Amino acid sequence: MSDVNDKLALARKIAEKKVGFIRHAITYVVVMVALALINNLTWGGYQWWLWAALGWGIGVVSHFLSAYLYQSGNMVDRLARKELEKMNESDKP
Amino acid sequence: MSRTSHSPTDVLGISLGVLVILMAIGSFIGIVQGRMFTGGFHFPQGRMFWDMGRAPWWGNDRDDARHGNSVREEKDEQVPSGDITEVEVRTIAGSIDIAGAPAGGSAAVHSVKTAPFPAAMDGVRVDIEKQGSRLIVQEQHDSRFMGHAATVSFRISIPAGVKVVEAHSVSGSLAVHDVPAGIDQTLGTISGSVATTRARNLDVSTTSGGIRFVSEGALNAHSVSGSINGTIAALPQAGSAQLNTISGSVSVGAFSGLDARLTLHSLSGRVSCGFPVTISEQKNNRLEGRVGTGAAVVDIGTMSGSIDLSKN
Repeated sequence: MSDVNDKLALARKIAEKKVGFIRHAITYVVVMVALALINNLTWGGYQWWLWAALGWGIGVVSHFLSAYLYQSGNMVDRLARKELEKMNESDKP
Repeated sequence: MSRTSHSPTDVLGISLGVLVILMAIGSFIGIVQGRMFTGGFHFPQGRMFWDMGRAPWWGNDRDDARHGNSVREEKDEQVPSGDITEVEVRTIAGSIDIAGAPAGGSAAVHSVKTAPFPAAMDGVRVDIEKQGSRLIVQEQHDSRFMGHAATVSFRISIPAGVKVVEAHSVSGSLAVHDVPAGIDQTLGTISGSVATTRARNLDVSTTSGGIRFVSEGALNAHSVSGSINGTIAALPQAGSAQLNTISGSVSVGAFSGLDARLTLHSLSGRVSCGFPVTISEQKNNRLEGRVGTGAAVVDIGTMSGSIDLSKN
């Protein structure tokens, strides 16, 4: 029963991360499109919005990697299992 | 064997992730290539973002209004010549080109205002005024936000009778050509180059720009990192020619009848002289002596550049 609860908690955590990323990415895209339009429809000179797109973009990409590739639950579990295996091996006579 | 299927939310998330990665990479490339200084994708002109050139105030494209959304305004103004004997021109980032007016012609000012966007045009104006016999042409900027975004370049025709020309620019180049003989010139820039083809007394200084000159009177030429090249076409008996640069080289040709005390000194550069010199002191990179009776003074110095004084 506990195992099922743990898995459910982990699944919920992963789902929250994915939804959090989707919200973050949609906000990023909408804001960047707005900034690019403001930049170019007002006086269209210096493209300052690119700095925001790059800086914030690095943050959103990190969020994406965290949510989809390096899901913290999986990684922690994997590391924990490896540590456990090491401990078991060292305990053997 | 189980097959993992992605939910629509996963597909949406991964698609957004790919889009964000592309946007971040695109903005990085845009910044690295200097394209943030462009006109962007300005729809009325039907241009795409990646077609943009560089900003008009950036690098050598300063005066090229074809790039981006920069705007350009040209204006010709005739100034009654009357008793004008002195001309003073000042600009910041624009170039200054001064030439002699056609025979009997009056003074004329051709100004070119360039701004990266239309609103910046309001931040600059051209002032042309006469103070006595002195004609003063300069750009004036508003102190408000982006008031200095526009640049002004001048092409000025000076009438016969002008005896003094003074021109200053911060980063623009200066050129004086096709002017009558006998004009004293004071020319100065920070990073722009200076070229004058005919000056009586010449005082020219620049920080990083190069200097090219032809002088017929007293000469003062100073540069920090620019090179100095020119011709001393004449030098009065008691006149002096002082040329100094820190890291640039000096290459000067002088008229064959030069009669002067010479001092040529460089800290680490080569020193050469094409005149027969009565040497009073000669060390590694230093030559002191006399050509003729030594009536005038020629002093040329550099820190790391070479010095070449030749006979024309």
